[in-house]
Formats: sequence, C-alpha cells, structure tokens
Amino acid sequence: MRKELKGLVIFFGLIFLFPLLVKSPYYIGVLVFWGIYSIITLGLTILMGYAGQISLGQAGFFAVGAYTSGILTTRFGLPPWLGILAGLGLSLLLSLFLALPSLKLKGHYLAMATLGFGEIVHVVLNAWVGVTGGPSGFGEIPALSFLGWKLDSEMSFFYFTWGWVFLFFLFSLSLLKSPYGRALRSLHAEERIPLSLGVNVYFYKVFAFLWAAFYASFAGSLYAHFMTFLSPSSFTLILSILLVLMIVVGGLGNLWGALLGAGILTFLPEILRTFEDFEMLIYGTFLILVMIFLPKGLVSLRRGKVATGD
Amino acid sequence: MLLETKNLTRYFGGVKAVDGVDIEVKEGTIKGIIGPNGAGKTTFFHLLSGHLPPQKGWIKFKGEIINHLPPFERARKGIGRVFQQPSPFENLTLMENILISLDISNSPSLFTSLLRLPSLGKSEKEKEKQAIEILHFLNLEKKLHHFPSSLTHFERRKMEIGRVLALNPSLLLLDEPTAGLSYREKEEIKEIIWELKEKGLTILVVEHDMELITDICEEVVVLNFGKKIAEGSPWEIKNNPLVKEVYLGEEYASGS
Repeated sequence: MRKELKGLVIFFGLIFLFPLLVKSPYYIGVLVFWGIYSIITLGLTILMGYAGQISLGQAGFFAVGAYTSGILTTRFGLPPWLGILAGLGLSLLLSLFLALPSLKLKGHYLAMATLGFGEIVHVVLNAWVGVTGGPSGFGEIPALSFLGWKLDSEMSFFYFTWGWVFLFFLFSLSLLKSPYGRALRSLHAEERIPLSLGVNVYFYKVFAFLWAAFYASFAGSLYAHFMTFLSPSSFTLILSILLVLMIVVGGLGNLWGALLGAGILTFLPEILRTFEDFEMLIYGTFLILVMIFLPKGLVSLRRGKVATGD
Repeated sequence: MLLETKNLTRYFGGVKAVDGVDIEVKEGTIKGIIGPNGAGKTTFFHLLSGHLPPQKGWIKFKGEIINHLPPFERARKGIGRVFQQPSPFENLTLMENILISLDISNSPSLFTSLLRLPSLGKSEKEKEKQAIEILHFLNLEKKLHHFPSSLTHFERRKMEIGRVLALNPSLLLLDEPTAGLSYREKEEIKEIIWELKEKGLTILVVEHDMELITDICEEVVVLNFGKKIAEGSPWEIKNNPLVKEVYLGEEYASGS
C-alpha cells in the first residue's frame, strides 16, 4: 500500500498542478472528461479485470446517474447531493437485477445481456419524453456547489472531479488490498476452485457488478452537473464499448491501467482532430497496434513496477 | 459418525457413475476408496463436496443432511477437498493462496476494509501468521511470496493441501494425493497425512497406489462400476477374491 501511495501522490500532484500551468479552459475541460471517464473505468476494471465478468452496458449506469440527478435537481429542485444519492440508489438496484442473470451467463451471453441493458436505458431516454425530454434532452441543470464554493467554472469543476477520482482510486485500491480483493482475484480460476475453498463466488460476482455500477452512476451525476445539458446521444453503445476499450488499452485488472486508458482514449481524438480525414484511420491503427504488441495494455510497458498488477 | 452416505446415486445419461453407495466414516479415521478407472471415485467426491448434485440418496455430515448445500457452504462446514489436478490461483502468491481460505472465517467488514481501519491490519497479521504456520508444516515457508507458476508439481500439490487446511476442516477429501510423485515425495505426503491424523483430522482418500492405502488406511471401500463391492481392512481387501478379480482383470486387460 505504501509504495502505491507514493505513485498516487506523484500522479495526482502533477494532475492538480496542470490547470496552474495550462490555463486553457478547453484543455482543462478535456481533463475533466478524463476524470469522469476514469471514475467509470476504475469501477469497471474491478468487474472485468478481477471478477472476470464483462459489461457492455456501462453507459446505461452512467446515464441513470446523469439523468436521475439531472431530473431531480432541475424539475423538482432537489439539492444536487440528494440527486446524486438517488442516482446511486437506482443504479445499485438496477445492477442487482442485471447481476442476478449474470450468475448463470458467461462470456458472449453475459456481454449480450449487459448490452441489452444499455440499449433499454437508451430507448427509455428517447421515448419517455415527459420525463427525460426525449431525443432533444433537457438543459439548465444547476451547477454543483461544494462547501459554499460554486463549481461553475472549468477550473473549479476540475479540482472537484479529480478530488473524487483520487478518492475512488483509494477505495478501489483498498478493496483490492483487502480480503474482498483477494476473493475477487480468485474468481479468475475455474469456479469450482474458489467454491471448494468456501468463497461465495455468487456474492462476489454480484458485488463486482454493484461496485462498477456505483462508480459509473456517480460519474454520470458529475457529468450532468458539468455539462448542465443531457441528451440520449451521449449514452450510446459506442460509449459502453469505448469504456471497455479504455480498460483494455490501459491494462485489464490494473487501476493505473484504468486511469491511463481513460486518459489516452479521451485525449487521442482531441489530438487527432488536426488530421481531419485521417482521424479514424490513425485511431484504429493505434488500437490495433496496442492489441498486437501490448496485449496486456500500456501498463505492461512498466513491467513489475505497477501497483496492484498481477 | 462424521460422514454418512445412504444410497447415494448419480447417473450420467444411462451410465451409473455412482450407484447406491452407502459409506460411514468415523471421526479421526482414515478411509480409503479404491477401484479401477471409471469406478466412480471422483464422481463420488464431487457429490460429497457439492460440485455435483446426487439424483438419489443423502449425505449426512456431522449429523445433518447436506444435500442442498452449495460447495462453498460445505467447505465452510468443514469438508475440505483437494482436487486431483493441482489448480492454484495463478495470479496470487503462495501466501495469498492460503489466505483466501483463512479469510472465510476471519474477515473484517467491507466498511473496515475500505477505510483500512486498524482492525483490518490486525486480522491480516493474524492470518499471515497462521498461513506461515501452515506453510511451515508443509515445508513450503521458503516460497512464501512466489507465484504458483514457479513451484514444482510437488510443491503445487502441497500448496493445495495447505489451502484446504487453512479452512480448518474436520473432513479432508484427498483425490490421488501421490499421483505423479517420486518415491521420496510420496513418503513426505504420507508423513503429512499421518501428522494430520494425529491432529484429529478425518480423512477420506481416493488412491490407486495400494501400498499407500495399506500404509495409511484403517478401512478401505472398493468401488466398481459405481457400486460398492467390498469394504474392510486393507488386509481383508487384499485377500478378497472379488476385488482380486476386478483388479487383476483390469491389470491384465490394460497390460500394466
């Protein structure tokens, strides 16, 4: 734990210095997105990298968090923290429903079930016009405030978001370094082995689903209050796939990989924009090269030195 | 009686893998199960550990019917199973492999774990101490922080035993514990089994090696085509004409 903390302090120190050095609101905004995606991937990597499950519906939980707190604060005037909590509660409930069939499903079938969940959420966002505003969405979501400090600039939201990334990183790290993390890691083996050693495999599979949904939902609420506008087009299957890609590119089952992957796939499209027509070509080539030469993700470049890697 | 089965039966399609087997295992004894290949020995273990449900009959452990319990609950009740093929958690160190089962009986709450409250460190320390004791008993303490991939077949097998011992079981199911081991290694396993018996463990062991069975078991059950065909002391079994026929028949047929 101590070794990891050193890495954490250096990494987050650099992140927190960034807005002081680069004053461009545009880049600070991109970093906010990196932070929001990181929260999702820090949860998702527990599900995919440790519990060995897959979710192609994570955008669904992201949407539930965003819309729940967005709607409750905008339409019903609830304080944002209550909206966030309501989003978390709803996401946990939904993920419980999704997790139960996952105990019976494996591989492709589980992928399809979670994909179905994400699509259902997307359909509901489009069709339930009275509540969600339908395809055109809704705006004027109030900004968050924190200890009397109104988070209405890129800069303030940046610090708020990355503060949470830091906390969520610590939570995931604590989980992995605890008996719960050991049990989660044991799910990698054939199921009969942990079962024969008293590990309640079913509990841990459901637990990992809830964990990942919790993170995604929280990130969704942050997103809603940062954008102050929501529409279904931000919560598509493409996003779910992008989130999985982030984890895989960064390094499956590694918290640093989740951070790194989210960062690279957030920045890459921004950088590649200058190449215009060739943007997708370069993006695709990059992904293929990573998969061929670094199948264990970018963190494998620093072999053996990475926290919580196996 | 620590373990009792009655009319235990498991079919696979038309094949009767385990066919109406009754056995009784007294506390503190070592019982052997022998039989030719395909006699249903491993299936019988699957039924006991809960990895397969029986179609007929019941299993009683510590006076309680356990048919309905999933494998992890049977493990928690004290049935420790060591599989035939060593299958360690490759992504965990030897120490962590042992800790997994120690966590079952000594795990702080999720809240304590996430906030890393002092009681977490205390229970981790306790468990690490216990794990080292177990590894010391198995002569593996030097490999504490190794990953299983760097262990020999023999060490992996002992690690499996250690992992199950960490559950603090009252019944140990050993599935061919000496298969593929050298003479010396076999002797060490035998030594371990004796010591475990002395500690009060009850052991049920499936073996092909008749010499090992004779050395460690008080009683032997013979299975053939899923049925129990004989039961008695190793000496009685050796001189049982029916058993001789089954074994010699098979040995001649397979030419080994």
